[in-house]
Amino acid sequence: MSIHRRLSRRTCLQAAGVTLTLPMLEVMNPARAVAAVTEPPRRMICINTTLGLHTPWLFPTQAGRDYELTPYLEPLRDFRSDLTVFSGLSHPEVDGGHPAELCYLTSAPHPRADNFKNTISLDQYAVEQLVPDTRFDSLVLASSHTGMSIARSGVPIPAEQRPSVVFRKMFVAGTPAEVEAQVRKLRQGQSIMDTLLGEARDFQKGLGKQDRQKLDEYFTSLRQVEQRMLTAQEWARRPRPVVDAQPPSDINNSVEVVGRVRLMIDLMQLALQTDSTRFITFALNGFNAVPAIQGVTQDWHNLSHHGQDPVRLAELRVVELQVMQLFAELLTKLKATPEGPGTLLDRTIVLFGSNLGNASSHDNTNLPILVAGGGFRHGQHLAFDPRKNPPLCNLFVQFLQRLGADVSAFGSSNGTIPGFQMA
Amino acid sequence: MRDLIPFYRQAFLALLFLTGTSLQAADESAAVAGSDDVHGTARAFFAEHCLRCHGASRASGNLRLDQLDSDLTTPATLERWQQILTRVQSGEMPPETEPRPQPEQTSHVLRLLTAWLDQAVADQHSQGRVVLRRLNRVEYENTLNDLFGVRVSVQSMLPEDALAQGFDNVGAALNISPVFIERCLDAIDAVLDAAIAPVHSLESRTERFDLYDSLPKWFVAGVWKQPEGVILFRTSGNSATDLRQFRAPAPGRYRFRIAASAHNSATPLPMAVLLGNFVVSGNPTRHLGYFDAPPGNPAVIEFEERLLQKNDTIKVTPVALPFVYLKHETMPEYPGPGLHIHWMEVEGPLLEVWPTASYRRVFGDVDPQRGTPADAEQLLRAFLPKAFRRPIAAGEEQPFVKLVTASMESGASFEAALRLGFKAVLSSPKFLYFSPAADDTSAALDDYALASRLSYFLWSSMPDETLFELAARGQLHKPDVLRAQVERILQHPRADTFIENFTGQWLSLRDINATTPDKTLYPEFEELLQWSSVRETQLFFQEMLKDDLSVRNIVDSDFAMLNGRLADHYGIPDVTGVEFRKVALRPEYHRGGLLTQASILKVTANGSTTSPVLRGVWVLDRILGQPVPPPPPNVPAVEPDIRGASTIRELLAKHRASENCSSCHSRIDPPGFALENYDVIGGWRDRYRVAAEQKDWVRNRTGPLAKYLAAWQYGLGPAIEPADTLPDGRKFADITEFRKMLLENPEQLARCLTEKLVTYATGQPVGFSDRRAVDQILAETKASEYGLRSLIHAVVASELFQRK
Repeated sequence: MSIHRRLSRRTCLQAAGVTLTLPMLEVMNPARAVAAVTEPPRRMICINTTLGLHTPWLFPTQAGRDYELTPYLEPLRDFRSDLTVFSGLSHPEVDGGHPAELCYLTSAPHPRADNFKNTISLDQYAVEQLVPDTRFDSLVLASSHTGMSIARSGVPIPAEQRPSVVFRKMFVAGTPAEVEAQVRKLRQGQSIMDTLLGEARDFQKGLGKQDRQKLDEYFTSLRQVEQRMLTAQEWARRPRPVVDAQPPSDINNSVEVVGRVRLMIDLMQLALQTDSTRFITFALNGFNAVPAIQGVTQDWHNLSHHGQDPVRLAELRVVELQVMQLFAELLTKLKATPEGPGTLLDRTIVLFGSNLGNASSHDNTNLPILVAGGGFRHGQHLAFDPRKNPPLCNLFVQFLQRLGADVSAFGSSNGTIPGFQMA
Repeated sequence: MRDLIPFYRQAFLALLFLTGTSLQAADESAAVAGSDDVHGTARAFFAEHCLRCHGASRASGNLRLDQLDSDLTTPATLERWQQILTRVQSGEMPPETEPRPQPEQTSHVLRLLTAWLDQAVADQHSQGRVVLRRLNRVEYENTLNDLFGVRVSVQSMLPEDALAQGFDNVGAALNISPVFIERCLDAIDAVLDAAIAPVHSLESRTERFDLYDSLPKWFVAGVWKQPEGVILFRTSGNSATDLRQFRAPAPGRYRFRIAASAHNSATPLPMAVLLGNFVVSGNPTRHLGYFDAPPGNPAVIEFEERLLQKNDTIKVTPVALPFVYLKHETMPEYPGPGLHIHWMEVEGPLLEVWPTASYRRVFGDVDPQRGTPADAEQLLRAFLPKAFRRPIAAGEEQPFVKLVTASMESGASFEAALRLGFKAVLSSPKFLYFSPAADDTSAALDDYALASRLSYFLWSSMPDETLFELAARGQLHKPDVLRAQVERILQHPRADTFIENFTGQWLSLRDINATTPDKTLYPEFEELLQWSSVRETQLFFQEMLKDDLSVRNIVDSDFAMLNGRLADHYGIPDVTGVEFRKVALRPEYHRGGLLTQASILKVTANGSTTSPVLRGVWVLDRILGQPVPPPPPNVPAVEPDIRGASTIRELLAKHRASENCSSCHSRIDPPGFALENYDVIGGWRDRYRVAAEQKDWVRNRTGPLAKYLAAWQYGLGPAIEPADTLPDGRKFADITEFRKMLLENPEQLARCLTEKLVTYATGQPVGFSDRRAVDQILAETKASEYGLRSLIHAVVASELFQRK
């Protein structure tokens, strides 16, 4: 039991404008409660704005702490000491333009190659390493298209685009009968997995060595699904956190990018605040249509292929400034949410960037990368050689270490980022 | 591990390029190079160039070349060697900072390594060539739908499938994750829900509507009311022209009749018809297709369709009309075309039969209120052979029966328990994976496996009754029977699935939506043009298939499949209406073959500029079968500049001047430049379109519509320069001459298409060791000048198709 924490946390949350009745999780899981008393959990949000950012308007010319704010950093003025700007990072051998979206969090080389096989994404790897005891091990979100989380077998995890669905799963408690039905369904699911394990053993008999190895993936998946169904049953019975926030109404028109992203921002903040999950990926998808933003008349994708045309660049700037503004809104919300002695932002690493360094030429080097919060020493522009980019995964390794994972490598890492340190 | 094959092919081709060695010579070296030679040579090469970093002292990247295992039967080892080969082959290793090995030395070691690794892959083939593969999401959806006789879209519920060699049905790339399994269970529920869904018992009624009465107030100023119906002038996806007076009282089948004519037009005008709920946003709408409204008396367009939700309705909208500014009061004097909708009639909901056929596929004759475990056993025993696509062994149904029985015993209803059984069957590896079902994997497929391979090749779904029956009688593998079945399958309407999925991937037609042409530069682009361009390519392929036309038609043809919209786009006279037909081509049309079709030209461009590099790479990979390796690391892409100051040719010239780049770009750029006369939407051009100031805009406001038309807002830039030189020194002036050069070697076109067909048909890319089988296919089809239908028969008859 941790009455002390419950009280203090609720008080804090009320202060933030959200009444939240903490569920009895701690009671049900004493070990976790003990850990929770000592310190609030660490978390991570990874965001990819898939059509890139025009980096001449993002990267400061000076490195270090005294850089001058650029047009795109202007909306983030208030967060200067909460964030670090990285220039000159990329994933080595991740090329091919747009398909590199798939590799933003994985660093698997050559996504266009014929024998390309993706690898596990940063968030899923963090889940594997840290095994969070939360209702959702991760949230995979997208604003209008595909997401960027990849399972260990290299299969993409479908992203949720409807905030209402996530909200319902996270906060809306079913009737006791519905809960029982849910538990029953999961239990039946488990019995299906049992049957399938038997089937797979039977099927395996006819296979050669190569194909058996291929089938291993199926076996592994079955066991994982079974495990997930088991934990899901526990969670189905645990009461859901009660929040004041109204369930979001989805915005169906995908060109309403601002409204759609705002709903996701609200959702991300609620999910972290209630410890419903600790790892979120969010693809802020660009698209082949005119975004509903004041002053924009052209298709977003075409604007990103500006070809140096000043008219297009001017409109692109409007779009991208709006995107930066949305990022600032997320940081504002996280920082306005007190937690323990600090704020939610202090415990949440927020990665914001893109798989494209230059969308106009489909270039995947010199990626725009910003990192905020999460317990690092921020406030600088760390600039690296634009012709010889260190691996972005070096930064990911530091994220993992900060989150508490005992790892020294991830993806294509070959070290860590010099000059970037834990607070 | 066989996912490495594509790489070998690529490496091999690159190697040919590097060394000028012929295939023959490399093949011999494979035969003579014992592994000792390989190891000796490789060891010497490593010692000289690599060990300083990848040896005992440093082991950079965790690689110790002095300790590398050479047992290639271990997949991880084979992969490691493959990576080493890639790095050396791409010139990435040794790094630039180190002394470079002599090119001859590199090519020698690469040649030996390639042959050695190829042999290892060939050895694997002795265990069967095709890697264990699961249904992809298209096949999964089709199969579930066929099993239960429903049409439910479930593919979007499943994780996306990865591509290999450009195809989404390659076993090595089709992985399984926990999410995949969870989503399959949801998809099965969705299909079963649809299969047992109750039907309405309403009386059908017929009602006729005047569309004008349905239009919301804010919209009526944009139309012209007529004594009968209404004339629509504006083409817009957001027009409020759905028939709001009609709302389906229940899901079900309805018959629709639309009376429409063309106003102020000597030729038929196209209209789009959609179904769905157009008020509640987010509800899916279904695009039914395009129809013609003829000049003169109205035509009555009649069709029967299923409305999926209560309150769904129908919507008609004009498409491809001139973009004009029109005030309501000027409509009577406006001399331009409009779509006159005279009336719309809906009959329905049409009578339904209960129980439905799909309901009976689930429950048979069993009343679910009284079903017993014994009933479930009977149903499952009948279901399993269809689901597993082969007869089942004695007792094979028992695990599923046990599951259902246990569930009923613990209190579940018959329906719930049976659902569980179906879910287990349809997530079983015996359903999800194609099984060879033969002990000796190098032997021929048995008839059931052959039936599956055939139906998934040409129908993307499970075998039908006839195929099962022939397999049961052990007849299918007989050459004449098999040939007759291929004919039957190709003549079935379902063979459209093959055309759609194969061309969708081989020719990238699935990417047609990937870019939206810039509205300023390409104001004439609209939905009907896009739809028509994809349809053209599919119908062209169908025509090749139907008449067994030679692969030469890929490069050039004396006909095209066109409708009015495309003919207009291509500047070809006297073709009107949305229906496609075969049109004879003349040289001045600048068309013929796949390469000059608007669909291909669009998917190989972005929305505002064309890139000879992208198009060149595409032509080499898809048409000529000479894929180019990816660019070396740290080469910046060509940054397009549409301000007109520099042409792409000037930009690329820099590229080709560099020795590093020219080796590949001398191959890549020529096909791309040959196509430079075609813009991003496949229109013919002599000059580039560029963003311009108003005074330089191309004038389109001429003729009787002048004062109504929206002005084009682009100018004309530099002239197109399509001439270039092939790597062998042959010069061409334009696309016409370039095509003639390609036609000199039809075998090359046939080889490329054959490899694509084999990959798609077997779910396994063509590797080096498949070369002889491919040669044989080519030999068999040479007499038909490599006709497409002959190629398909030859692929099916080949050992590549008939063995695992």
